[in-house]
Amino acid sequence: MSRFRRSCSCVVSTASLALSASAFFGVFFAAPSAHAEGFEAHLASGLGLGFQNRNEYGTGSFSRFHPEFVTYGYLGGFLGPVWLRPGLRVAYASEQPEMPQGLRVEERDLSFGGELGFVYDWYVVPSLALGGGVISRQVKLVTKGVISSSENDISKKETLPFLHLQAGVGIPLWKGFMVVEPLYRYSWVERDARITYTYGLEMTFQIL
Amino acid sequence: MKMQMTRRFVSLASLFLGVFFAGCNDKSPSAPKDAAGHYRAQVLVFDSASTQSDEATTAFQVKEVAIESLQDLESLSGAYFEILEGGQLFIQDIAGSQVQSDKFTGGGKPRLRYTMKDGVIVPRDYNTLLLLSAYYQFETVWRSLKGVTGFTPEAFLASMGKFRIMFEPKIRIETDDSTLDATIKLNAAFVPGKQQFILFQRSNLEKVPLAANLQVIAHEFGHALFEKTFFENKFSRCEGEEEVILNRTGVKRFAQEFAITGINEGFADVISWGVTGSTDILRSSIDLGDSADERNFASEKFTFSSLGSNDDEVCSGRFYCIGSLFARSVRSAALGRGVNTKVAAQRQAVTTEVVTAVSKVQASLRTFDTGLLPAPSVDVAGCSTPSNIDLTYDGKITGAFLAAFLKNVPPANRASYCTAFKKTFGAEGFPTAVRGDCP
Repeated sequence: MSRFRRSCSCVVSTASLALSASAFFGVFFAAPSAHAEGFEAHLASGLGLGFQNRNEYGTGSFSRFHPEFVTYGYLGGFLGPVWLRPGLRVAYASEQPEMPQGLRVEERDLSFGGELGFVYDWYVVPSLALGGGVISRQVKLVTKGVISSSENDISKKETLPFLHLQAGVGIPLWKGFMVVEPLYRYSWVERDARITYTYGLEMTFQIL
Repeated sequence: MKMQMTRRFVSLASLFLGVFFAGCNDKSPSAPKDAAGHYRAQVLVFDSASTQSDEATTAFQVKEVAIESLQDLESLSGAYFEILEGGQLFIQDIAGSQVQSDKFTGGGKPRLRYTMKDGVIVPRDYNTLLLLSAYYQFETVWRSLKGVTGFTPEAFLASMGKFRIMFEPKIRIETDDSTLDATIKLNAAFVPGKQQFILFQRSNLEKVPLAANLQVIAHEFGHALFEKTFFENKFSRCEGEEEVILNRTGVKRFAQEFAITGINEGFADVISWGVTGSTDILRSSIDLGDSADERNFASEKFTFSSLGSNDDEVCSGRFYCIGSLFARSVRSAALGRGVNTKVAAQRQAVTTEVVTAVSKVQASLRTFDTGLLPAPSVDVAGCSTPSNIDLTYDGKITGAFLAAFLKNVPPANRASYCTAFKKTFGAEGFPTAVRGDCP
């Protein structure tokens, strides 16, 4: 039994776990892990509440509320205390930086990401993950009052791939049924160097 | 098995990272110039037709324009000015939109994010839209320079040098006693003596962004013109009492005068009016309290005499109130002699006349004895600008300025100016003793 996630009596096939955890990384790890001795697998899901830092206001920055839904697979038993943790994330950020009332360019980001991480099974659970995905961004020019926008191409949809590196420290509660994990994530977003890091807290619950 | 898996992971991760970082950047596509050699972009534009029927009505559009003076898009740099984003500005004093600053550090190339569509730069975020729009406003003023002032851009550049525009810098306020990091909003400013404009951080209390409002940018440019004309391009601040006492008509004395600071603001409003045709300089961007009403120099809400009460209900703008009276007088004089101020060419003939006269005012003041131009007040002699009007003292200063101004306008137009000055400044701000040139 792992220290941070309880053993599950359910039989979770590696194929279904791969599908539910990560289309990309899951498939990659499915084959070898299927033959591993003492293999254990769990699934956890929950919410992340964070703030994404974006360079704005000259050399200043803007912290944008960045909630996300996260699902982790935990694959262990074949690397000692180290577990693999493929994950899936869906996040939405709509908070806008300060802009004048009459002229605004509002950006709303819906992001989908997958990642592969490692966690170390200890009293607290340090984690390190590398992930990637895409941001589906809606850009909208909003004018008001004496400003009109008869012709513009500013309003549009963009798809931006990204990579991120995340570090966290999970705190298992109730024998790992719930893990609270403060995290720091650094992101590289193609064609948007404004976005840098995210910090926040994840709360995940074991579901399998 | 573990080794094999680790190798597969490392190789796949390397491939993934390599592919991603090879293309991961914030670079926008290269922007070609049009056949005339100009960049084209979608920016915020002042609609000059909006003031042709009513000088207090304004309209703006986001539309495609040619940015003619821009030489390097990535650094937003042209022959006449360049924009620096960020950095830190050290400020010693702020008087309205005139800032005393002796140091600027950092600041770099603007972070532009855009796409190209049919050869036109399309901003991808607010910051880029604002930066390109701000550049375009400065360029518009520059293109209006000859008509509004009589100076060619080349001559102006030769005498003043290339301007730097600080976009949303961090602010550190330094006084003799303390240092304070501050966020300043709801303002744009000029730094006399430094050829620098400041576009302070945006605010959600603005309507039209100040940094992209032609009315505001033209006003700030008016301060640069005042430096070139009234201050004869020799602006400097006093650092010791003797400098002012010994040189009653020197630049350092006038740089501290409350009334001259106000007339500087009014002159800047006149320049803005010359460029846009609007008398209502502030309302399109900021309409808080009575500030916009007070700045609209088509209104006759107050006179110089009524400022004496120091009552904010009369005019809360301190020296700006004197400026509004000056701008109102200029327009009133023009209307009085039949100028159609809604027609750009006629209005700009007026502003050119004002610029020409103001450029000779200090020379005339140098000939004034203490009967016409009093010795500096204790505050001014001590190198500080008073915070409130002193009707008697400041009335003598405005009187001296207006008298010197009158000497340098075409004689045929003096009567119209005299009538306007008498009405707006009254006996307190345009004393009988200085009305010698009035018919």
